[in-house]
Amino acid sequence: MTKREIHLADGRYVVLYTFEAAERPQPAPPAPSEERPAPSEPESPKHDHE
Amino acid sequence: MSELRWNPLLSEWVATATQRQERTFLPPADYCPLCPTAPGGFPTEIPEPTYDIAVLENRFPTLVPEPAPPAVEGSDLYPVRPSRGVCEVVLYAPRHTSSLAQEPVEQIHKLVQVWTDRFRALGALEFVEYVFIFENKGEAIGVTLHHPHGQIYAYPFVPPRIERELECCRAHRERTGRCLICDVLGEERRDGRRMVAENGSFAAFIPFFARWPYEVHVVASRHLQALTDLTAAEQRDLASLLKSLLVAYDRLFDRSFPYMMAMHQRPTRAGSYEHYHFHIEFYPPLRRADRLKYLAGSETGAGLFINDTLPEEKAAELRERISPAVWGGRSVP
Repeated sequence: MTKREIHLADGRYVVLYTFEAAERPQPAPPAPSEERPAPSEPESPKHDHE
Repeated sequence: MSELRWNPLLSEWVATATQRQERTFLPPADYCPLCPTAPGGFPTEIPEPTYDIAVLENRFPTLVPEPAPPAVEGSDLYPVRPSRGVCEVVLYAPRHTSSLAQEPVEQIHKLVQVWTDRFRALGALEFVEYVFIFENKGEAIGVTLHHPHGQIYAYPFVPPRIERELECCRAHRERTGRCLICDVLGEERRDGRRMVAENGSFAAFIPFFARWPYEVHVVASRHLQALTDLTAAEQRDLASLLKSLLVAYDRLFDRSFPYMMAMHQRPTRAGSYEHYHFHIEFYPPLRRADRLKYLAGSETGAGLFINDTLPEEKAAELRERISPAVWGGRSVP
């Protein structure tokens, strides 16, 4: 994770965080007794506003 | 004008922040101030064409690092003090129509790391005693910007709700020698009816004493006090559990589910808080798909919450909708 701070015209700061692909975690494989087909990730309802 | 005014009836501070009356209110998507600034497009508060996660000072803050003196004079009965602190906005993702529930678990994992960094950075400021990370999601809660975001308030004191929890945890530790929140988690696991989800490092349940129908507490299994205590594996497990819970929330009524999220960590002021226990509380305002739970006379005027539902039944509804988070296409229980 790296961060870069910039300043807006009104003096406020913005911190931009960047992550390298290599930082993405690799989950450990499940134990044999827990092995099962991976369900697809559920889709949340689409919406335009709350 | 902004200042902190003392309420002697409850021994707590109230913040006035009149400039917040003018804050941006539900702008059209093309004029969202939290989107990245597109080349040649409307200049937003983020002068970059994209970002991963961004944190910025709130344009309409309640607390600022160098506040003006109070606009009113205090007295012995009514002390006042400057509104010193920091108010930040955390942008979860560049996509305007997203939400934390819709983001992949990898993005939530990044957010956990950013939260941790902000807790550490803001907590190191000499005038900050408590760093409160939270999210107000949905118009039902009163959000004024739809872009997926949370907030952080760095207070110059420990806020009253946290002080009360700290005191209850301290008293329980003195009486029993044990952590109160560890005991709550143990009781919920033993009973089982209110459990919603659990992985190697975190458990989610609707507590026995829930005030909101779908109130969920996400509690660290290990006794620890703050995000900064989490191991890398625990950070991943927190992201996984949050993803599963938020998707289950959206599935409840097939809509983007409104909630308040409150992260309860140890204070950052000097002191020993070994008796405290890191957890996150969610307070969704819906009691049915089309009905809000209001904080009315009893709740607001007397402090007695009335929950129209049974936590045991609501937990079962959520449990049925839980599925594992998927990291890079693989499920992680």
